[in-house]
Amino acid sequence: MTRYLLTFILLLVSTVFQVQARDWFPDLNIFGSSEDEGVVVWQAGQQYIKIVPKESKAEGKNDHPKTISVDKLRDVLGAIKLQEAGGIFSDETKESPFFASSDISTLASGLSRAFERAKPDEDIIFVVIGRHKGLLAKERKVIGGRAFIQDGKLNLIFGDVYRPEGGSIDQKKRNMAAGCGGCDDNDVRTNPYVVGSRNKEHTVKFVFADFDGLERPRSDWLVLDVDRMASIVEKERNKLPPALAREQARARKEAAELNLERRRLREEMARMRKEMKEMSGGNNSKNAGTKSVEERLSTLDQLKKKGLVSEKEYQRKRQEILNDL
Amino acid sequence: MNKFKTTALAAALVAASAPASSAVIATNADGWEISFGGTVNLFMNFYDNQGGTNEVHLQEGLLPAFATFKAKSPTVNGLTGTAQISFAPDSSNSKLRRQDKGGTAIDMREVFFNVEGSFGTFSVGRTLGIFSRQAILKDQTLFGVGAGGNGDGAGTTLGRIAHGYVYPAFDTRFSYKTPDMNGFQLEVGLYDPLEGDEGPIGGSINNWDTSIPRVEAEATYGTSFAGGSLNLWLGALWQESDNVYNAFAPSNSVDLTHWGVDGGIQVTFGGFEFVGHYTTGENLGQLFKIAAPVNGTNDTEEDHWYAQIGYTFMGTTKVAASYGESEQKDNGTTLNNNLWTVGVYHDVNSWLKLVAEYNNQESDQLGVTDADVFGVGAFIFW
Repeated sequence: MTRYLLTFILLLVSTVFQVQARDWFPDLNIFGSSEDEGVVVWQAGQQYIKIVPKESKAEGKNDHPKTISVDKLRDVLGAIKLQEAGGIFSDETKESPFFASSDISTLASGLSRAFERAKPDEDIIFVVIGRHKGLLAKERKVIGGRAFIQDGKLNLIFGDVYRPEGGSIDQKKRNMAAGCGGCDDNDVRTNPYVVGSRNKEHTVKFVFADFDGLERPRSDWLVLDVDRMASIVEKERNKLPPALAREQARARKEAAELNLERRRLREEMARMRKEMKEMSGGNNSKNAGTKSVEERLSTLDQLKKKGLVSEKEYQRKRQEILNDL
Repeated sequence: MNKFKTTALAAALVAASAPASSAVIATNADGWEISFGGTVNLFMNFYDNQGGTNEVHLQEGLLPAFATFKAKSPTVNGLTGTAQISFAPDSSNSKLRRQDKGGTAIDMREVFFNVEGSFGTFSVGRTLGIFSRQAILKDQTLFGVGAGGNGDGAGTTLGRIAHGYVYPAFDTRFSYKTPDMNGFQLEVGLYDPLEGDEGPIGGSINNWDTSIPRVEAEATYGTSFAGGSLNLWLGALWQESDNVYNAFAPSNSVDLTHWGVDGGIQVTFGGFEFVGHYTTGENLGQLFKIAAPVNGTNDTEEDHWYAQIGYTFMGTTKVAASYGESEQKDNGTTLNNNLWTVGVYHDVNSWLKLVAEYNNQESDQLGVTDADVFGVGAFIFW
């Protein structure tokens, strides 16, 4: 009897605690913080882009809603680069993209929509997981951040930067060492991905490459002049070596001519198909009777010359026309 | 030259701080990622056996070595598949088996696959059991020694198994786990029933009639708050076993209901960690989760619990202490195992862990003598 009573008490305490804890410990945000709320603009698994209320101590009003095109955002996000040492045998530094290509596509599209919908007292937070360079091969890594537009500039504040996907290393070690493949390595409930904060700096140790229009007021905070950066990217894109530019112009001209030729061919084929259809209508077709055998043979010959009918089709059709004599 | 040394050192430091999670070693044309991870450990354990011989024994701790092969599919139409096969070889032998150069055995512990989508996860195959798994995953002796036996035997030590919780074991099942619902998750598994063969009532495995799958379930809640995290879990187990042979009254069959409920809490805050776990049930045994009475035909009653407190310095060195008991009442006989553990667990880097642990065990069962066990050892992870 005692055992059943104990079991009942355990179940009751556990249930009551789980239901009541939010009320008992409101300041600890044990059962959810403001980041759990908000309007989801995009979500895929643990990745998301959300519109959330601004942090309580955040100063200034955001310039939301704001329209920034997806292409412009794609250019600006792609222009954020990291500066890295060239390697063991090289003094030169090299630059590598900060965001993975999938991150850029996701963020450009999601942020563009989010900025259009957000209010002045709202920020956009995001978590994206892309494939980045690892020690041996590419690894899935997390970038968490907060975005808002203030004074006409795009602000990005980062939390997690290149965190390995999933739970803590200790959690993964325990799951693997205990043989608990059924446990979820990507369980981040007790170790959630961190988005950036205006109020607290998350030290980012990476060195961002200089770019005209990009400022870095804090290690985890980038301020981006979108129009300026986008125009530079556009110019860079167009600024090609003369030989390459000539080659590109020639290729563009050829492509245009090819497109024109293709369109003509399509129209010609459509016309011929129509004629073929009319011809294949045989004696039942009105038009078949109006064309002479000679004209029909001539049309057939043209089709053959242009390679639009095979030898076998040509012979069969020719015989059909001759049978009409 | 100085330049080379500096950059070479920097590269070495980057490599040293690389995460221990298994890296993708191959990606095929269809987008499947294949990874390989694992761990190996060895301890030098000093046994002061009360009323017995004193021993030093080079052996694994609670964990054997692990080699884990994993394949993960690309996500197609919202479905992601993973398959995992892991085996657990030993890095040590019994003192009687020194002539066996190759270790004692290779234990295939995990062979399963998952299908995951927005609906949750279906899992098929064998891996660590659902019931009681949180107890072992949160236990400090997972990376230590715990209860050690008598210091002569082969294989792993017991950790806190039978001294605070029952062994979750590696059993075959179909399971379903819900997606994360604001921190809550529920997993239910239908298991191949185990057939108990302990004591006179058990007889041979052929004497047991188990026609319904065993059910194991677990509800968890996890969240984080400023400076810490909270984990709660509540688990349950149920199995029916009909014994068609009864040594006490051969003409009568004995029907057993094995049931258990466990629950626990883990709180971390500012470097501190507290873990509490409690299990109660009938016909669970002290060691395994399915057992039959030894001293008669009445149901056995079991209670297991442990409490653990720890503090992590600088994010790399954890000091923890714990106490736990496993008690079984079997037809008027009460058996109690208890264990004190104090340990230091130091992460030299993300792939190397050094451990020093002291244990004091008092064990009425399992042929484990009362003993003081001090062990020092190391783990590597990749």
